[in-house]
Amino acid sequence: MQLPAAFWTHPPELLHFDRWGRRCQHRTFRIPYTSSTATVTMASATATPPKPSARPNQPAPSLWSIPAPLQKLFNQFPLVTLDPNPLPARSQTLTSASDTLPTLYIFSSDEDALEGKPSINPTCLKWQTLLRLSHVPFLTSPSSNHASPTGSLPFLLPPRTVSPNPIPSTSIPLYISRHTNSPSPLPTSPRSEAYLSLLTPLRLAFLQTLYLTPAFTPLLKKFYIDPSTRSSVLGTILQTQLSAAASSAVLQGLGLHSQTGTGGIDSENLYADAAEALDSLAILLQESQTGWFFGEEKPGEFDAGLYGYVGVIMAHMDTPEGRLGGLVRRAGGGGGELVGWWERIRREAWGGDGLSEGGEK
Amino acid sequence: MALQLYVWGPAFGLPSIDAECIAAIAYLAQTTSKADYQLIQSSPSAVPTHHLPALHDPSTRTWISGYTSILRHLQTHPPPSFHDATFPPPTPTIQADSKAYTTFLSANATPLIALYLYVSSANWAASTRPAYSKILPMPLPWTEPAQLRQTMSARAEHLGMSSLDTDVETEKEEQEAAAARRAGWISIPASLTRGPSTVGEVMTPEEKRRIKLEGLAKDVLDVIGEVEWAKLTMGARCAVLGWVSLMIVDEGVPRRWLAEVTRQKYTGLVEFVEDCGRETFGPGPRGWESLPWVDEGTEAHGLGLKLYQRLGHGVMYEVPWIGEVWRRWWAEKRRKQVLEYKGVKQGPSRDRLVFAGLGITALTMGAVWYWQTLPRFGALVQRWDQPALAVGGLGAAGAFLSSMFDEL
Repeated sequence: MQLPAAFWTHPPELLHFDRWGRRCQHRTFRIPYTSSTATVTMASATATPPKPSARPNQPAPSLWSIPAPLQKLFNQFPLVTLDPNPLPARSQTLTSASDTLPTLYIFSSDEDALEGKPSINPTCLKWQTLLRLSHVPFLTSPSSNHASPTGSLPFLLPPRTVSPNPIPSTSIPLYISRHTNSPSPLPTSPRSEAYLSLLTPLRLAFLQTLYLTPAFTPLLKKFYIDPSTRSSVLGTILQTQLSAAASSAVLQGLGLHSQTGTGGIDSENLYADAAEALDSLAILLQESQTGWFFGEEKPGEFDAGLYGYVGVIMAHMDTPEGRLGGLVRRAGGGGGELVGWWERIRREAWGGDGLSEGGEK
Repeated sequence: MALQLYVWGPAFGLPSIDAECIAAIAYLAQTTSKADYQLIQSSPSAVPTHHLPALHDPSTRTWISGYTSILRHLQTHPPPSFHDATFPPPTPTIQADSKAYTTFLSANATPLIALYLYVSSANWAASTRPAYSKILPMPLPWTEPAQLRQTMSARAEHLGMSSLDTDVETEKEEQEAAAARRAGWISIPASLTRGPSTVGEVMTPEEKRRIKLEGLAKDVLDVIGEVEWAKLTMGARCAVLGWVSLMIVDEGVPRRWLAEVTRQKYTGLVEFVEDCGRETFGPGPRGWESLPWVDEGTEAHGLGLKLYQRLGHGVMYEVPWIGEVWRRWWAEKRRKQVLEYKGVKQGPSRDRLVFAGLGITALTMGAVWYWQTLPRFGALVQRWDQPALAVGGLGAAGAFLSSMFDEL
């Protein structure tokens, strides 16, 4: 076996090949022979064709190795590397801030949730208002019932660093009392339980207005259908389902068979019942000296519960077609108790004009 | 013409089997003289609003159903002899409290009564179902009570006590046993199988859930037990009479948890309700019988329907898929009738179009089917088959043989 001359003149570890397989001669200058830095290694390609047998440290090029010209071509790519896309706006806030803040999942749109604006769903708005009234900082995120562990919104997800377990809406008062060092909520008095049931006729009239009044179909679409789907076919199906669910809820509340359809609903009576309920609530408010229900020093869960409905009604349904807005304004003999109370809560919870302030940080 | 109040008939020694109906009857009895109203024992299928109590006011040509709506109508369109000392209410607070407690009763006491008398299989089978059979004219008990039980069960669904309905469980067990019998080779006679051995197996569902049921009852009764009902309006007093008198029903009811809880712990409330009942309906146990009851059959009511028609609708409702559509269509139709009767102009009905469409579809399908059964052009319409080969067909020898067979 004939070995190249260089093999004998250089120790094997200094014998290298460039990437095209040509042998390189490394000339090493050691310190005693140079005046400058430590070791300088230079590679210069020679025209000597490679001989596999002469490369004891290199594997033989396999059948599958890429031919040199192709490799050269491929090395040109990618021509341009773009910057990574930014995350969606809402996830950016959530990922940056949800390490320290809890997140309330509510019915809302992306933009509104980012700014912490009031939800469009009475139950979500109730708990959102209660959290804001008690000055617990939190983020809001738009979601749907499918995302909730209890099957219905809202739910609160504590900071990721604290606990991974979601808190259902019924446990939110407990969460608030733990995080604000306030005494835990007192058991409700029998009288407040009775007045709480007045939300039932209000709820039925609300369902009738939003889901079963044709004039409010655009609002229904904006609230619940557009965030869910962009397909018009799916949207129509979804809307039919929502209306059917609402009509069976109203019928059940009235004591009729839930499949009677909208023909069984007497909307005049629904609105008359809601008007009486709002009147009674306005009278209750007149009794109280503090401006909040049951003479409390600061607004509590009862106020938040009613604000859930009144807030949505006044923000979106205070139009000539929406009779509920007029009912709220006229409640209690036209003294404007409920409207005044509504503005007080709005100031207290959202500050200023009630809508412009962003989420609490 | 007198007001007509359509109500469920009497049961359990009460003027009606339904809380709202008792309240409405009591309010009319307290405020209006007997000449100004009639009580008609009926069922929801007879009234256009599909719900009892329903008040028909011939003077305003209106149908109103539901206790609070009837109250509102009586107060705004009072009959000549109407006198309610608490209307208008003396103070706004009394007005607000009365409204709140009435709403509370209808929203929270109804599910309790539904659990007690409708969801619980034992009570339904032993007392409520027979009571309905007694108050409904003959073919109607076949259809109406079952639907009513469905409606009432739906109202108690959120309390999560569906296990009181043991019919479903029994049915499931029977199915499982039948499946096991089919699958297995050996069948053990029922007398040799193990009977109930643990306490839990012997207890009825009501006994098992007694603590939770008592908790549910307490949630409601704690609120209404502390109220000074005598200070509230007549409307609220009649409401508590209606709802609580059904809650304390125990005659002929096998599982009396609700009556026991109410009578043991809320004696003040029960006393008030019993006093109120005596005051309203007269001293005797069945004082309400002296109220102006009118037989449904003899009363000429414009929108009343014949019994067989009501039965037909009841049967249609039970048909899967079609029942739902039918119920909706019928409710819509009756609502339009009511509005037209009241003088409200209605848009043209599309029913004829729908029925014409259905008829044309059926006709087309029938014609296509008939066309398919016709023979094609050029197809054989008659056929002669060769007779089966017999001995007689084999020439002279055959004739000989067949004559031999004939002789045999």
